[in-house]
Amino acid sequence: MKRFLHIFWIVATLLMASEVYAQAPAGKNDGPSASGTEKVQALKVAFITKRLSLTPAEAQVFWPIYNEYQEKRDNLRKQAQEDRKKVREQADKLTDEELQKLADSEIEFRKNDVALQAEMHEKLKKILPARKLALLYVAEEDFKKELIRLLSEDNATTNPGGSK
Amino acid sequence: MTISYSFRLIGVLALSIGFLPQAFGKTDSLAYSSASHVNALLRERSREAKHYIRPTLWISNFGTATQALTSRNTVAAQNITNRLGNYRFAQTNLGFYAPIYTQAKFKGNDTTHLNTFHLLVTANLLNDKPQFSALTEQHILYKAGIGMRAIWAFGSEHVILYDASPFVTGDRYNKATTRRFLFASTLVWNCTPRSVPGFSFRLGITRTFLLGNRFSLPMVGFRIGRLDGKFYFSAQFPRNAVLVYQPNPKISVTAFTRVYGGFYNLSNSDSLYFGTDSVIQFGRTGLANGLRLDVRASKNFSFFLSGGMAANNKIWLYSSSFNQGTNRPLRHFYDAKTVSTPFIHVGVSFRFGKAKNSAGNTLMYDVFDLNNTIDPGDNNDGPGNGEIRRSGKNDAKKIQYRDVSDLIEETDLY
Repeated sequence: MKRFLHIFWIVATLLMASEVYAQAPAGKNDGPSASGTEKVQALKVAFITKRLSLTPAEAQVFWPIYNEYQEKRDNLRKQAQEDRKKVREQADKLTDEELQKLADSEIEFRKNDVALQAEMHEKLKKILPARKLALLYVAEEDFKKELIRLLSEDNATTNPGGSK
Repeated sequence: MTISYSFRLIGVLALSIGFLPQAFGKTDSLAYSSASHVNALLRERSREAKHYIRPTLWISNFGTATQALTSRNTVAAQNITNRLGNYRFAQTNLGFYAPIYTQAKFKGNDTTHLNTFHLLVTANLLNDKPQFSALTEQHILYKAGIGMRAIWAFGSEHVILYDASPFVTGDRYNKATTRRFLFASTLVWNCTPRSVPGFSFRLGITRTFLLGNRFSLPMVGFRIGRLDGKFYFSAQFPRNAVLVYQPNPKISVTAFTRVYGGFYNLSNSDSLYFGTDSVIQFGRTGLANGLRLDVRASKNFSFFLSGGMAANNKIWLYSSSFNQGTNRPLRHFYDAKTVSTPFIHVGVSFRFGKAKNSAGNTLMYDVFDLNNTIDPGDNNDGPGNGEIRRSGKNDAKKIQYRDVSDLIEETDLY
């Protein structure tokens, strides 16, 4: 057991070290950090709950539905971004046939995104009053603007000259 | 039919209910909905998280200070007390759970309830060292088990958990003769009424060895306050009562009273029992009262430090042959207790992999809480609610471009 514990603590230390490394500042092209995603999710919950004045009873039904569909949409978006990256970086190397396939799938992604939104909308109609549902879409847009504002504020603080 | 068989039957039924999702009511699954081509595409290409619960591994150490044993004033009891000497114990617990199957379906009359079913595999390894100062060779007791649990969250208000924790216990003093299979299990219903915000209650039944003997007990509990709120109070009989203060997403401070204990086969090599038994049973229990500081260092790693006074420390010795052929709580031939003693308890938890987004989903928070409170292995020593993140004032600070790049489109900048 003692030997096992020693091994465990070594593994634990390594994991903690990797955690610290994972949280180090990264470039723009890196994926979202785990803690960053958590923060954004928490901000969004607070923002939308406040804007829609969701009652606890409404929130209890609303968030599971909303999260489920947002996750599907996020995944679609990630796939679309991967394809766009491929086109951006390898357009010269890809064949016409491959490019045609990628262009088709871009439209397919957009159609699917709308389909998911429509499906979510139908469900939310049953649990939210029309006023709150209309406010939801406005709140989503405003939340993005809020994120952009936060980003630009942070950028202005850390890089006041605006230079690279 | 014995109670343990009843539990097993209930477990099978609970699993069957989970695997028959379309048997009742209107269903509208994300996986099998009309937009099946979208889902097929997602399954085919994405690395979409499958589960809400992340695989979690935790290890903790619990130890008390040495105290004199006090037993009844009979010659036989005093004789054993003198042969045992002073008493303390230390415990190392390793626990693990991982989801193996998760199902999410929209159900209900208007298909707006996201019902989820979670099947998890659990594992537990525990070393329990009761240390008696007068014994020349100490008994090191162990417990190892692999179990299953099913959690069903439905109707936006209800959660049912069934945990089956079979385990093998024994005494390293004499492994071959002391090995024994035991079966702990718990069935709990948790209700979070939508009309009463920040409140939940639980009812259930548990087959437990936590109180130093085999018991089938009712489980009754309630919580006041949100699990992701600044304060909440939760009392869960027969496990714990906690008052939790979460000033920010990283830290929580808990004032608690918690039952600890166990039930093991013990080698009778030191002839603690005067009969012919080569193996006897040892039970211990107590109530740890103290403060606990949980630090959620990151989404994947958390640790806790806890200390206080362990009260009501009791031990029992039971004769195997005397209690043969009964499924009731055992009758002891020796019991003793110590005065309250300081204890220290430290632990770390690791969570791995990706999980589906459950931010703001209070029913899923109850799933997490139930899953962590009813720990695998019946030790009342879970990993803490690391998945439930309280929102903080500083969340808006230090957001990086990479965290939001997926969410912002070109048109948002106009």
